[in-house]
Amino acid sequence: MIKTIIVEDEIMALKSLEKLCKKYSELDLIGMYENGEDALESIKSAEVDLILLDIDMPGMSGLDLVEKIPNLPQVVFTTGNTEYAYEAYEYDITDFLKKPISPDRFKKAIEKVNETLEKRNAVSLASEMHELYIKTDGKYIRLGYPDILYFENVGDYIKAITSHGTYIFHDTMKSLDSKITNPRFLKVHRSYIINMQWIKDFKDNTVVIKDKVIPVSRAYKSVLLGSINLI
Amino acid sequence: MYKYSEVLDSVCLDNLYGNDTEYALQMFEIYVDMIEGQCSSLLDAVKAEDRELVRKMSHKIKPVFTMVGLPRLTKLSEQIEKESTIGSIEWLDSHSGELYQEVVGTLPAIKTEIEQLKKIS
Repeated sequence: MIKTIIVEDEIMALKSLEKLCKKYSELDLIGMYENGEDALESIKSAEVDLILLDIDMPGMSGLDLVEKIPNLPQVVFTTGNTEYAYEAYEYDITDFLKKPISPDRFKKAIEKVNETLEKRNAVSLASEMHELYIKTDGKYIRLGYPDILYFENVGDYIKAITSHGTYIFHDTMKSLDSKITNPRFLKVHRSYIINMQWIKDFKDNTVVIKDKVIPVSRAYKSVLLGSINLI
Repeated sequence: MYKYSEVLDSVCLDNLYGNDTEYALQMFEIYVDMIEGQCSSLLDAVKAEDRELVRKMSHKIKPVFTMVGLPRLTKLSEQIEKESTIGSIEWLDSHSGELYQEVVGTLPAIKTEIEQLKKIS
């Protein structure tokens, strides 16, 4: 579902957009706002994928609003004046609709929204398959999956041991485990997630990765045994 | 396809609403509720010689007329919006007055259309 909000100060245009949105099952209309200030509060507190945004509003204009949004979702500008088009496209928007908006033109806009979403998802999926970004020392560091040996829980932090260094970041094992999409990673203990491609050997209740002996809980041992090619 | 009154631009309405007469009815009802008040506010802004408010008001109501099949009033509002910063107050006054008269004059037709739309929705 595409979480959508409408920002429009003119009641007929607002109702018209609401009606048009309801024709598309993929749009989840989560809010309608008559000014930019209220919309900004909502965008800060909720996840929004698409904003249908009027440009010319009293107070904060649509263009002012997009300036204030840190991670801009998809934006479809709606306006009575095409003279704003050039300025609007400076913001890498998805579409620009002139009011009143016909259902056919709205349909094209939603097609563009879906295309953009598919492209973004493909890029995101490609990233998820190959890497993780962890925040440490105020910046995001890329860890390619093949370089990661294992993760170790240290209090409220996680230690990532890689072939090129050790990094510490704030997270929980449960949350980290849910974010790793690479099937070669396995939780073997409440404090360890290992990359199976780095296993040197294992016996009883331990695995060795490089020179580190990592405990394997009884609960996870059967999962480990089921995940490796035992001869 | 539903046939709109000849007073209204049916091509424009068909493009906007297609067969969705319930949608048309909703828009027509909102129009009747608010348009006179908004046109009065426009006239007040012209009388107060508040050009920025005249620009904003005319801009705001501009697309609304097309939604009830009155694109000629959209054009008139557009002219008022364009002239709001450079035109004479006399020009703005006479054209805003003309817009108001047109709105009042076409309201009965819009109300009749609402009754027709209610019958089939």
